[in-house]
Amino acid sequence: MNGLHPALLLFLTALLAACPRPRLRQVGLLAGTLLALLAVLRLAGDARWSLALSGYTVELLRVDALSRVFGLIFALITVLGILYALHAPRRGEQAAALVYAGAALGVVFAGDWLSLFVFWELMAVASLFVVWCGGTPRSRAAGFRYLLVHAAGGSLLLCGILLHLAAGHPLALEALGRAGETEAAFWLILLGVAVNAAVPPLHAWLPDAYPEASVSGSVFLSAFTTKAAVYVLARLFAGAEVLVWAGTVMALYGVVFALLEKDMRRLLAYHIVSQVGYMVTGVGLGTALALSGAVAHAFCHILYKALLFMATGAVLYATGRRRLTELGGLGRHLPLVALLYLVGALSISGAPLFNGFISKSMVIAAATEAHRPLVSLLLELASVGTFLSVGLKLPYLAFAGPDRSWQLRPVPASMLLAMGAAALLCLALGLFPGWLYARLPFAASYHPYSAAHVVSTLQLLGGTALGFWLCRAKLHGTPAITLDTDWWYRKLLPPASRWLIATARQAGEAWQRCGEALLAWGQNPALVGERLRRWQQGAAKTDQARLSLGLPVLWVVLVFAGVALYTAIAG
Amino acid sequence: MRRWLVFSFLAALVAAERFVHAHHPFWWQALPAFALVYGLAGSVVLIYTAAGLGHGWLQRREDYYGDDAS
Repeated sequence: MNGLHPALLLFLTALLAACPRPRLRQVGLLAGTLLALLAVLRLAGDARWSLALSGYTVELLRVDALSRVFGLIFALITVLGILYALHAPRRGEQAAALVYAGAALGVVFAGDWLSLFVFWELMAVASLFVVWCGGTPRSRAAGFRYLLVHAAGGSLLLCGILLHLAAGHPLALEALGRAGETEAAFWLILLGVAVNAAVPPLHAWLPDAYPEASVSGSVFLSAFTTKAAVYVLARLFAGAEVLVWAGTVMALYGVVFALLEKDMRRLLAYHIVSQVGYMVTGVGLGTALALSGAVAHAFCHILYKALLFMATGAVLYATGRRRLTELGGLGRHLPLVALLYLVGALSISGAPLFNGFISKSMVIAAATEAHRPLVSLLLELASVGTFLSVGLKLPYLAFAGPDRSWQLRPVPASMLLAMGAAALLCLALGLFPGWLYARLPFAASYHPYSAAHVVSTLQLLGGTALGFWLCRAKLHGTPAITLDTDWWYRKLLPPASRWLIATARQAGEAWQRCGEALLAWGQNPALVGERLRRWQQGAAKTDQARLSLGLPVLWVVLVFAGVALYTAIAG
Repeated sequence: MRRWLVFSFLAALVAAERFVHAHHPFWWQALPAFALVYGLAGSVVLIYTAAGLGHGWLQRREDYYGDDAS
């Protein structure tokens, strides 16, 4: 058991989702995910899965402290997510989610560039199906946009990897480091990973697609893609200065857009962008404390963000409504959901006793320790914004306020159980941070519970609550959507591509006419009169005037031959 | 009544600063009630920034992107 690849167990478990008998399927899925968690816990430090492929050694499984801690939280959240999704109507979603989780584990345990890339793309494809299992026209359209962005991101990553390997580097994964910042490979790989980490302006796929998945699908989506990207950043780009500022911008960007958001799940999606910002900043700072903070925050974030998506999912499940402007007064009807939501909200806000407090403050402390006053202040400001919208605005609009005489669908026990377990883990980590700190891969000592830190955190949250109370009228408002960078490919791309196609066709037709004009000079003069007569009678076929398929094929072949010739000569 | 409870809690937090031993890497952290004021000012600034961005520029009707976004 100590050398079994946990991703394999999840892939096998995904097959169980096809089982037609509900009880058997539920037991099988839970058992499979629990086995995968056990496999991660029992992984030996020297466990290896290597394949020799024509001169290369592909390492599917390589274990170190960094991959172990990410693997642990991925496997743990898979168990909770499957528990939450036990009653999901679409079995395909459970299968896709398990493949997605397995691919995320594959990324984390990949020992070389090739297996990293393969699992990376598998993650994109499987998560696409999780989005599509939302089953609405909106989720279908959002899924296509998600595919567009991730295909582009994956291609950037692949180009970067190929350039990196072509420069003579080994296939095994190794940190790219600060020395490489002039190489194109460095930037291509960074861009490809930044797409998955949702760094603005490459982030719009996240708030576009995640809220369109089903209630249980969003829980899985919130956990893997962005955090796998954080893992890759931590492994390859620790100490890259550009990430310090990218992360700080992310943290504030997400917060500002979340304040504008009227859809509760889109609000939470923007807070993924914001929270991942802390991790990206931590990776960019690159000190032992900062990297530990980034990893610890990823661990804690996965738990409380899953809890928040589960709780808002339960609200959506019970009411069928997702806009905050249509909710209200639910605290009386769903007291347990409200309570569990608040545990998640206090965790993400970094309130003492909850797990956000012990991880977020590590990143801020690392920025302070590295003498980055502006970064530290801006990250504190992002904490203010987090408490403002997740801790105050969302519960104020959904759970407080006037009652709307709700007719609620009862929330299944399995969903409540999963939420309860996630909430307990958030509290347990907040109370006993030593358990997590002992598993962090970088040696750093940090003590969150100093009296001064608790007092200043409570002051910050108290001041935020005061500001909320003063300005709360500003946060109501009418239903509206907020434009984000997806505007470029939702509004501008369709007319641009139509224009491109129309122009290409016109050019082709003009070319065709030129050809026909020339053709007349080359043919048998005796036939000219016959042609003219046919044309006058209207017998000429319109199909002849269309652009033939042969021409583009010929062009492609010519260009390919040219490129091949060039590389043969230049190479 | 409730309002006074909140205010006295915040006052107690400010008073508590005097009794905890703290190490301040940046000078502003030593200002009295800095975190409280930063939280208050920060939340107001964020709310007004977001509202300004939204109303002035970024917010649209819900059917802006056509059918699939309705």
